[in-house]
Amino acid sequence: MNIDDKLIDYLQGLTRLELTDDERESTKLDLKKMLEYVSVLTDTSSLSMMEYEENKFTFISETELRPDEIEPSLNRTDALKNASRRTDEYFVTDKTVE
Amino acid sequence: MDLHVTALELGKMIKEKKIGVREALDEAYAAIDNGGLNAYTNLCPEFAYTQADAVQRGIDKGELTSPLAGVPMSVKANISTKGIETNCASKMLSGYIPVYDATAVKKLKDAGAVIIGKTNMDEFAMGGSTETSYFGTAKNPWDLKHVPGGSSGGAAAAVISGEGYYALASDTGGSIRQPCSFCSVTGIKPTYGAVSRNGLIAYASSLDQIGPIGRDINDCAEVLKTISGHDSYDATCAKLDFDIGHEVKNLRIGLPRQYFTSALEPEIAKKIYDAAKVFENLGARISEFDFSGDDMTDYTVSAYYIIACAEASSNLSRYDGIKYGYLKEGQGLVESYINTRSEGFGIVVKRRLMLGTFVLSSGFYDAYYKKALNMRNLLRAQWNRIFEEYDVVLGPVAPTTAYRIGENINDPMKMMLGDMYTVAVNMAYLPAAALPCGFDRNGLPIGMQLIGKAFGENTLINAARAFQQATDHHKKFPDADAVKTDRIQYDKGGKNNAI
Repeated sequence: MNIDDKLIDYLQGLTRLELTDDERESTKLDLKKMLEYVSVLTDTSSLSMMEYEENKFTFISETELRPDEIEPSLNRTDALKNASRRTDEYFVTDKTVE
Repeated sequence: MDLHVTALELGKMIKEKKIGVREALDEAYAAIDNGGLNAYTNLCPEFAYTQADAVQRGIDKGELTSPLAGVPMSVKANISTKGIETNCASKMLSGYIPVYDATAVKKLKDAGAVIIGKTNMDEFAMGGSTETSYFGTAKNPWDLKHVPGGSSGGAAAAVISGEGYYALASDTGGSIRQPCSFCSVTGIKPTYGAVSRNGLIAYASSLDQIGPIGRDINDCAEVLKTISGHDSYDATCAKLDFDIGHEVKNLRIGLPRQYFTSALEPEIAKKIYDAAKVFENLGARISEFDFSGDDMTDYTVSAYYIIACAEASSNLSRYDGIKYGYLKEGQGLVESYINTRSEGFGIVVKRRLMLGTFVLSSGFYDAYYKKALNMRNLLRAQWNRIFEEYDVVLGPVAPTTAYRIGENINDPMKMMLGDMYTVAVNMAYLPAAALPCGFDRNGLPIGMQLIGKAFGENTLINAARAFQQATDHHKKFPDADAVKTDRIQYDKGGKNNAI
């Protein structure tokens, strides 16, 4: 598969990342190698020797959800502690609505 | 004091008042000071000595009875510790101080654990050498020019060097087992759901699992017993009794032929066959078997990387600079996101996020992600069939011994294939133990892997215990004098200044 600038731009947009020129070139090469390797899975004929079953999610053991009851949670002071921008009550972000 | 004791032996010495908790802590910090291994991203001496005094009082009053009480230990830098920086070896979380303990940490603290610091790792656990750490590469105590493995490389290097007597680490595709193999320590990747992931900073949630690293299997078993069990804060955590300590007789051990190909260094293959002989002499029944499909390893590694990167691209989308973590402001919200993530993540993390986003994106989801999930189901079915015939599967941990720092970092394929014997365990939700089984001609450790069926940790532990009772590979330590170089400077607050 060809990893070109257009695809890198598309992925940068989705991941909210911006690569430097050096990072972009090395990423193109590495993604190409990695996708070539994992493409073994895209050839269904190569899987034909195995019993091919449609994906179904089966969990390994029985689990239990906790009761739907209100319990003490993080208090506001603690929740705000690690924020770079905050007031005593809120996280502060850039304006999102004009 | 003889540093070459296990955590349980040290715990016994503390109980018998042959050594105080503070004194044991002094020894661990002295080892760190002299080590030069860069095994820690940050230390917490103030916290540790306060904890040591409280634990000593608890032991003296007879309130703390765990055999691990008072033993200095480390926690990997991706496992949350209340009040202690937990940075995932990333610029993104540098300075992040959790306001709660991971469930596994809380259980250990309740048992009297004394945390001395957070161990170095690959950034967000993405790597197998610690070379992607924002805080610099940790070093292998057996040869400082070599990597300690990863992602839990700091944890394994610390345990063999007396920089803490056991470690809490995590394993997504081999991150406990491979560094154990590279550093000659013992570790367990538990069954998915055996240990709560609450407080483990997520990489790939369906593959991640917290587990112990110790100097022998008994230390690991005791830690696992302490941290396992149901937790209402992790819905994937199994509700079942976790029993360790039964006898295992007539153990059926299988060796997969596809693990012993030209991809595996012959010296490692020989040590694994030697280990099989040890088991045979102990009364186990050994036989070889084939996976269905010669390319099984390629399928497994491919499917693993697709799933791991896909889950990472979702999990790491939370790092936006707003609620916690690094922030680089821009003109408006989107530019702030981009600046923050572009400066906060290292290049390996960025590449994996892009690969994960690609395989989940429109037009490629069916071709890659869905196929990988199908492959995972097939793999699980295959391992279930294997465990109808065998109690335990024996194989290598890694295709090579510890490589030189810088040797593979620019070759992502080599790094991916380094996981070829470990990722199947995570993909099939299975438990596995890694333990030392010898050294190569350069004096670098070789490890072996025992894989068990889901929730079959007791069988694994008993097999590993029998092996360690019959051998002494796990009792060998690197020459401490040889590593007293290149001191890593930690400031008064315990912050690693190696950046």
